[in-house]
Amino acid sequence: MVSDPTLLTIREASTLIATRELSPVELTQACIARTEALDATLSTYVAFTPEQALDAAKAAEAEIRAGHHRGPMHGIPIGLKDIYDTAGVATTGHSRLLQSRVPAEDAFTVAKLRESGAIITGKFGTYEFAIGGPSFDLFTPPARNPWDPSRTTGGSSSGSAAAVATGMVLGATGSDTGGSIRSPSSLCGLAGIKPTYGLLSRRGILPLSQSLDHAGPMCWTVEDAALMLQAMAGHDPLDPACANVAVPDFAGTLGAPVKGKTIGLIRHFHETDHEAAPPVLAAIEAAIAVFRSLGCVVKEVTLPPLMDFAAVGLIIMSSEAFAIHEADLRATPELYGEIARDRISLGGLLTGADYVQALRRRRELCAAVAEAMIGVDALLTAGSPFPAQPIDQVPKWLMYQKPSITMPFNVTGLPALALCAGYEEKTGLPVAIQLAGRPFAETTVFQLGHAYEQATDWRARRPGLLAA
Amino acid sequence: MPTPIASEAEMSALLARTGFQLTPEQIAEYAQAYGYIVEMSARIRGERSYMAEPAHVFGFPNEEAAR
Repeated sequence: MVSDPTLLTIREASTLIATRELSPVELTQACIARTEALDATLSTYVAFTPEQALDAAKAAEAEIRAGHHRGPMHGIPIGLKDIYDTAGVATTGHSRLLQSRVPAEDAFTVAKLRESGAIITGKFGTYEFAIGGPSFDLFTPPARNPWDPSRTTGGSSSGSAAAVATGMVLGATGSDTGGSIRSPSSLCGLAGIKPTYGLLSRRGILPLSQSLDHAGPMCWTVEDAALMLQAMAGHDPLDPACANVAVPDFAGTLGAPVKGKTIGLIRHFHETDHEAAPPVLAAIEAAIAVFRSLGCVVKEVTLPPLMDFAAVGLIIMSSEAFAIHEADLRATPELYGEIARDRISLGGLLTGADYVQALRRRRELCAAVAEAMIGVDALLTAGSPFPAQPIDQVPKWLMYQKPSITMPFNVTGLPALALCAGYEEKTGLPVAIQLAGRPFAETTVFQLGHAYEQATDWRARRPGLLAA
Repeated sequence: MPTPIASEAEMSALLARTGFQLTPEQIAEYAQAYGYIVEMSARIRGERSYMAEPAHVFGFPNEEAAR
């Protein structure tokens, strides 16, 4: 008998489902009950579809009883960021502009998740069009941080993060153009991976910036992120950016020794370029000690200044986002929330030369990082420079004022994993580290992240409101 | 390279190119934010020769290449 199935990891729940000690219906019902208890406080969903979820859970249960267990995601409740198209269910980008938009088809990755047997419980709130938030002028309020509901979840995959941390679902999709999987994962205590650019199809996902957008999973553990990524991956010939590469077994190397792996510490990113808060700095030093105790070699590497990556990323993102939204911003600006409207509109002030120069600088930065990674298996820095801020005090132009510590891996396209590295003593808010790997070396990143997670006890703690 | 906008009139002229209808308050806010763009666009420009690798290249669409 499982006392609270919502707090199981995907791996644990999957094992119990496969041995018929846990029913997908029982698990889905528990997640629905958790949602009904907490969603008024956390505002995670923009479209909650419990009836559809229960129907899918019953079908999964029948299939498993008949002896067909599809794999680790079969019967596992998950939710989708509301920029992933779902056939017959509105996909709005959390914007009034698209509030009545109902796609005819699932996004490629959503179809893959359904094939894996995952149970989709609904659509999660996001920063509007994955850029504007936290906003209080949209059709539902912004998601709140379950570790302290007066704080932001980070963005833009905000509802996804709050829901996973509280067991409303066991995993969720996010998207990441400048850090939108890794920032909320960091601030809500999750494991979230932005995979290599091109590993996952983005077809059927509302774009923000096509050359920087990445899809990816957000879960409670690194192992769960590997399992969910497996279900989402596969070549899509209809996404021109999707790489035709073999998909490895992402969880296959978890647990293998990491002794001898070399980790490049980008100390200047979090100590000088964007000085992290003391608890984050302490967490990184503690993580270095953990990796050394596991037999890893940790050495410092120097990359170009963080602000160079931020400038390239923001100019490309703003230009591409403006090109997408230009017509609607002119015709119906009142349908956008203030923050998304203003952030996207700023792209209209850039020139063609700005965009081309950013592309050229991007190529140079990619070369510099590739050179720094010679002999290095993974890079290490902060997941977020600070714990979660008060939700009503996030500056509109923050991304321009302080360089993002996640953007370098959007600019370079490298896989990057944010994972919990402890809790601020005073507030109990999560802090996080970030591990980045070589292109398509997700298995190495997962292996290191999992080894760190196993050597620490951060996964034993859940948000206090679950005890209330 | 763009130069910082000093006045509301200059900002209005720049914004006219975007086709937006904005209030004076919005124009003032964009003027402030535009400073960040100026900083960033300066940062990405370096000494590059005419022959430097152009990062943006043309590629045939997959369907075209498959024919």
